[in-house]
Amino acid sequence: MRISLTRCRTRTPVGLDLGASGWRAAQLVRQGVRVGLRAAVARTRSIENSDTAADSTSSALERSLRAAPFRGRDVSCVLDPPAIEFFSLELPAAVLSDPELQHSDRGAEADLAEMTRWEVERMVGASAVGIEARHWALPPSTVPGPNAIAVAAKRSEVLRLVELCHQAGWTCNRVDAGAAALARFGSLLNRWNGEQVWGLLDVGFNESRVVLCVNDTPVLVRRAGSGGGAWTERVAEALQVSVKAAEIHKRDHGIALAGRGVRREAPGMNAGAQGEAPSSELAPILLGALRTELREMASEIKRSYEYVLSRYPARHAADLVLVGNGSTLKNLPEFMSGALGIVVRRASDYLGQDGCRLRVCPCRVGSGTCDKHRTLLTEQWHTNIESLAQAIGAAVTR
Amino acid sequence: MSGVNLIPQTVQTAQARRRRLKRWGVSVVASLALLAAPIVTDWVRRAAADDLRRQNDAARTRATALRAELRTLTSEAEQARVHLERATALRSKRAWSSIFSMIADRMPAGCWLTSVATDPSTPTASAAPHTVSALRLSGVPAIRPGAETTVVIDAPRRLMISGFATEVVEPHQFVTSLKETGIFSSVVLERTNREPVLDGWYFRFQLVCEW
Repeated sequence: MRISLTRCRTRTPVGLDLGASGWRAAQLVRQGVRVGLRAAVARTRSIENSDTAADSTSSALERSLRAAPFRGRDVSCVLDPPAIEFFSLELPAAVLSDPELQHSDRGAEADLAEMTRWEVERMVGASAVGIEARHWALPPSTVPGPNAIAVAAKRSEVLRLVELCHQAGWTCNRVDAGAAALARFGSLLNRWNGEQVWGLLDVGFNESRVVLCVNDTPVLVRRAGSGGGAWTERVAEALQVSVKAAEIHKRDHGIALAGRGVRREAPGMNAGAQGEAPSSELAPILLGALRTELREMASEIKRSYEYVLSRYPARHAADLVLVGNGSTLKNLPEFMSGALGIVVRRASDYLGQDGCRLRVCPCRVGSGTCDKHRTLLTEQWHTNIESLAQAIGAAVTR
Repeated sequence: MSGVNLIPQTVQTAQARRRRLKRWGVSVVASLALLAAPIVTDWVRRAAADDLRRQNDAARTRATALRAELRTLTSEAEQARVHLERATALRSKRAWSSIFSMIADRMPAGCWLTSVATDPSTPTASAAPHTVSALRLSGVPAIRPGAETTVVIDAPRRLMISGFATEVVEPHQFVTSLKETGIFSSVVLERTNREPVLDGWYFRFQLVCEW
């Protein structure tokens, strides 16, 4: 009998999310069925000084990780497009749908891996050399179609990440797809039932991605439009101000729920926000500047939901969870909720509610403080739970 | 929950091997530590015992030296004490000048002395040892109990005073006056004679004073 001591550990590895706008790291602690955010740190690049290479050096990473009160040296990282690509696969259902066969028969597992690699190479073409391909099975469906999602990553990118962590004095034991990490994060926020198709919208700096899930499994990962960085540039063009000023306006005012003089209500809005007029005259202008992007994003998300619902006809559309630093744009959930007709909420709105398994002390996100965790507040601590979503998901390895 | 690990299998294998090696190293070190613990404990105890033994030897040597020094000091102290005893004994002898002064004060005006002599006439000037228990070195037991000595110089026990008096009562007055001093335990007028001296007759007397 083999006893794994690592399963007895209550703390998770440090989840590390190296994004375009900075990097975030989080470590969780298991408390029965719940998990608590043990420590987290985020480092955001300034808009004007977005020197990726300089900020993601191992020494900077080491300094910042050392400053945070993490325990252990294990790191679990995530990769996002364009470093990785997703492919829908149709693998032999007999092997794929029998997990016992996969676990007991190493030959079947190797066969599946070989099939995945072959399929990925076929789809990638000549550039398949130096590609690492993995897959996860999709929930069974009555509709014929893809039954697995393959993830292909450049081996050099993966090794670069492993080496970066190694140089920083940490051991990277896992490099996962960001979408899978987001799905794990989303499954902590709510107890989704098997009849629901729920999703996450990750509004990143460069682009936005939608990840739709069934039974905690991501079934669709798709680019949903531009990200917060492009939105800032669009606002700067509309207001004829610098990018930095546009970023400040964007954060301070957000978008209006509708154009000037128009009020509308959207499902899923909380009571305080319902029907409130924008507090600023800038909000309608920002909405005007971003309307095209937001509508395209909404229509892309709608198409994604429709596709997944067509693949899983017995299920219905459920919440869309907003994560990523760009999701903190004021009135974005209300706007998206109005455009999609489903409940759209930020990740932080789920905290403390029934079904949420993630516990976060108020001091650990935002600017709140508490006496117990006062020491955790570092100078890099200008983040929120939405920004930490992928890092938290990366930390949840099982 | 879904997820993949994109780290190449070879790297994962190497990492797993490193982890196993690390665990193996830790377990080996722990085992060695557990095995070495009794040996180290015994070694430490032996070292401590040796150290204590060395300290004991040093203490013994020092004690021997101290004992010799103490012996020397004790003998010196003994000599000093003998000198002190001798000095005390000497101090306790008669102060002849004060005795003569007292006799002169007490003597009546019509008397004069012809001789003052002690009996015996010469002291038995020998130191006779005998025990004195009062003087001891504080905190130090007597090395030779009973060996402590006191030097005694025997003083004369009697004083013979001879002289003449103009009146017959004056020797008696002299005796009374000497008795009043309380120095002597007894003052006896041994004899009184009337004798011619120079140009007249006077009364010759002889007193015996005892301490």
